[in-house]
Amino acid sequence: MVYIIRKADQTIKTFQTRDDDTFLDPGEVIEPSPLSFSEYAERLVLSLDGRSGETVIVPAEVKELTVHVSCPGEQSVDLLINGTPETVSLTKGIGSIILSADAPGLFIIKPADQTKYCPAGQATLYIEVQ
Amino acid sequence: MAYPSSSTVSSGQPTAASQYNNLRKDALYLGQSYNDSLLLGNFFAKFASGFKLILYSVSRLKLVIDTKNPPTIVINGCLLQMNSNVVTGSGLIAGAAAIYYIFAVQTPGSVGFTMVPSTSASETDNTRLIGECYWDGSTIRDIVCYFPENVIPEPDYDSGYFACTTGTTYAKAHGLLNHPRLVLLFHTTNTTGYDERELVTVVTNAAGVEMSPVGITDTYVYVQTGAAGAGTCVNAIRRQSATGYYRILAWL
Repeated sequence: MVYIIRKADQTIKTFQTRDDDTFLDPGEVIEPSPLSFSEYAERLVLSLDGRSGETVIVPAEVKELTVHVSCPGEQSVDLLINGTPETVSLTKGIGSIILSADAPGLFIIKPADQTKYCPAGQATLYIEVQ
Repeated sequence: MAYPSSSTVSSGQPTAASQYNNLRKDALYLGQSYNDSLLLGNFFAKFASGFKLILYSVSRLKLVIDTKNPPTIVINGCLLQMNSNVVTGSGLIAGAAAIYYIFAVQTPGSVGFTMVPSTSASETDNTRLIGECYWDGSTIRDIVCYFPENVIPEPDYDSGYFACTTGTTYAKAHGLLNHPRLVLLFHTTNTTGYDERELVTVVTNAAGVEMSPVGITDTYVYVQTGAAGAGTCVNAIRRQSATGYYRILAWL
């Protein structure tokens, strides 16, 4: 069982293993899901070189980055790359994004529909090109 | 009340009923009235001391022997002590992932005890629950000893894992009715909790300045992540992250 905290605007703030210790801000609601904590987290995972849930730092000379997208059961998923929408096609729930890393900067990739996917956890990926 | 209640008798002196009863009272209640004192055996029925459980191999546990403070326990009213290492048997912790409960087992004819794991937490007449561990299917993890000696006790509040991200305040009701004296915030990158855990002491705010994210009241532990940047959830030399998972542990 996992417990989802939904904000007043219906976007998902977080998900957690307990339901009895959370102070809800005005308009927030807590809802249970029959999935386990891991199963819920794995609904959308973005990773680079197997790393997710952390800021991945890469040197600018790498030039091209392949971000791995895992979204089991879906044929596509809408993401925001530094705020720009992009739809990623999936095969058996797996897809990828190619990013150009010519210049130093920060890539922030997160789910576009945050009422469906929680941006916390492993569904948002930060890549810092140095 | 004076202790002991009984007194010495001389050779050949008949033992009076009062002397016998005082002696019995000394033995059972340390000389006190039965209204004021538990039976000595009942008082020590749940006694245990000197226990330290460690990993012996990936699937076996060992009870460490400290000769100055050996593992001592009362099981089924018997006073038991071990002066040599105790190890769980081979192949007893195996199969699918599960929590295993560790029992000390009293055997008639022995003043020591053995140690047996079980997926059931139920004690029987000749067993006492002394700890637990998590078997992930290949390795023992998270060993907990219920009678620890000189180790950090279990936390009074454990939030469990929850997902975190940039620019968010998480308010967790710890239920301790007082300010916890010690609060630790850990960060992980996946949901198993068994990757490297970073102790979160600072995060970065929008200006890139490092700040502590934790606030503590007598009701809540607050964790407020930074507003923008790559280290808003943890900013450590070994890991920066603006997402991932937190877990809060607190002690009164």
